[in-house]
Amino acid sequence: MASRSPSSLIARTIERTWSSFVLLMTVVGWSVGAGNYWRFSWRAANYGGGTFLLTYLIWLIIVGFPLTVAEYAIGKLGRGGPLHGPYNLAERSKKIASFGGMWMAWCCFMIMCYYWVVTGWIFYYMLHAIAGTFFAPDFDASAFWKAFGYTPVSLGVGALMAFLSILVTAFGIKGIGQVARFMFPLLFIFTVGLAIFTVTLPGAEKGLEFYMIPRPEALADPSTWMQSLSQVIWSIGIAWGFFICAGAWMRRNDDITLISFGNVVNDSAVAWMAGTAIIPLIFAISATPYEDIKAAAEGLAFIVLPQLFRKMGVAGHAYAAFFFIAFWFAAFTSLITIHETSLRALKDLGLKTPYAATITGVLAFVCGLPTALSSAWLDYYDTVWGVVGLSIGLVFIALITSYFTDIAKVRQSVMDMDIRPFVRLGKWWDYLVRVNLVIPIIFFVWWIVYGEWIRGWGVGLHTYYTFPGMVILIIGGIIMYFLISKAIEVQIRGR
Amino acid sequence: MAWVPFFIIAWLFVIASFYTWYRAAENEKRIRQIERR
Repeated sequence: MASRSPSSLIARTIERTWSSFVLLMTVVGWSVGAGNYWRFSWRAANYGGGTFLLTYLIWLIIVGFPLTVAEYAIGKLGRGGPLHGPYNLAERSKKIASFGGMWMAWCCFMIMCYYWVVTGWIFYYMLHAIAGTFFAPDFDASAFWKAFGYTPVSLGVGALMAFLSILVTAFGIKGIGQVARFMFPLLFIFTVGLAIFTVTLPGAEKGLEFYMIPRPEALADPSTWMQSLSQVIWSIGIAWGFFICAGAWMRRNDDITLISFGNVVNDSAVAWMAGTAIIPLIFAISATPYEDIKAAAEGLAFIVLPQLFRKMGVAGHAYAAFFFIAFWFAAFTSLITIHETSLRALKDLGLKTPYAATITGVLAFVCGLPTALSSAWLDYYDTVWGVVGLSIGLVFIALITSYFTDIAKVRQSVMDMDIRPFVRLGKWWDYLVRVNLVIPIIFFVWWIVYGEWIRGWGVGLHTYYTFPGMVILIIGGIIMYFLISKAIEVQIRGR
Repeated sequence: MAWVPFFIIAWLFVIASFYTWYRAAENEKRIRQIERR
């Protein structure tokens, strides 16, 4: 058996020539996308406000930084993507390690199924921001959203995004990535500007109280913990597999600890500032903010942002146009990255880029059709893959780096550079990574028990459609494991 | 005013972000120096 299980598989890694700064801007550009505005404001406003922020901070320390480092380490030390990186790094249970990497790529693909929908929404809003629709005297933001969201128009715009993503990934168009690197700092500054503007509005303080003061009783609700955990990993992009891909192109002296810290703080800065711009504004403009937040659900950012620009007066039109252009670039580059991670898994299995890009793009479009037409389906996909699937991915990262290999060796290899690491990893990092073997499971079980048994069957987890989704998740996982095992054996025989 | 601590943390994220941009640029200078040697 030993002769059929060599210590490493040869992965096709991409050589890169750009600097540490460009690397940071690129990976942060991937992280910052629709999740920071659309998903963060929706989840933070509906799951605890200030308590959501408190638990978010706790998750950043326990999960965010340690596992971002671990995921980059899998790619950098394993020199490969989601299939090869974990295989090469693991010293035992190599096939399960590869399965872990491919699980992340699978979740990434399933999130792509609804990410093209949201990117389409942003594109549509960008066109209207440029055209000045938001500034018509009789403009009604809620009615505008209701007339657009989940309609054939929104499906059509989303389809355009999916098609563009196939074009860019299949033909390796590089220009967009380069533009996005300059767009990220712009978007960052625009977002900070929006937050400053909102807090100066009369009535915004009530919103700040809701958004930034933790309520102890909300800590007893596992939904707050689970939703903030999923937001941390969804927004930063942990357990999607793309940090493994990025790690594979790192040079020896690229500092994983700096890039990981950069991912965590840049992404959180944009998300918290976007929250500061969006949530207090509802309190400044509405007499019934709590009801409006509930009613808006996932459309919150799209209902609030146009009203924010209207409040800016004459400058609002230009600000809205520049903001939405930068926002669309951020979302579109995230869509391309998600697409590239999914197709990288197929490339690792031996498929050529144009085929892999077309297959993943068309499949994501077909599988995501229900999410383009129904808010319940979008919530369902986001719960099964964005919350449950990614949480399982965390366990895989912890397993690969702390159980399938010697974590002390991983830690020393991460710090083995000619320059001083930004964060000196000690044994504390080993413990934090290991804690993630059980944390998602404990909180997941608590969430189910609380949601289904205490609050009533079907209340917490949207049982009737989420449980079948989880069955698909498990069956798909088993089929994937056998396919991956076969692919690895074929690649080993081919050497 | 109990919202002030989290408001400060939000701004600390912003400042820390700018610092990581600076550190990444500084790291690159250092890496280039080492590679030239």
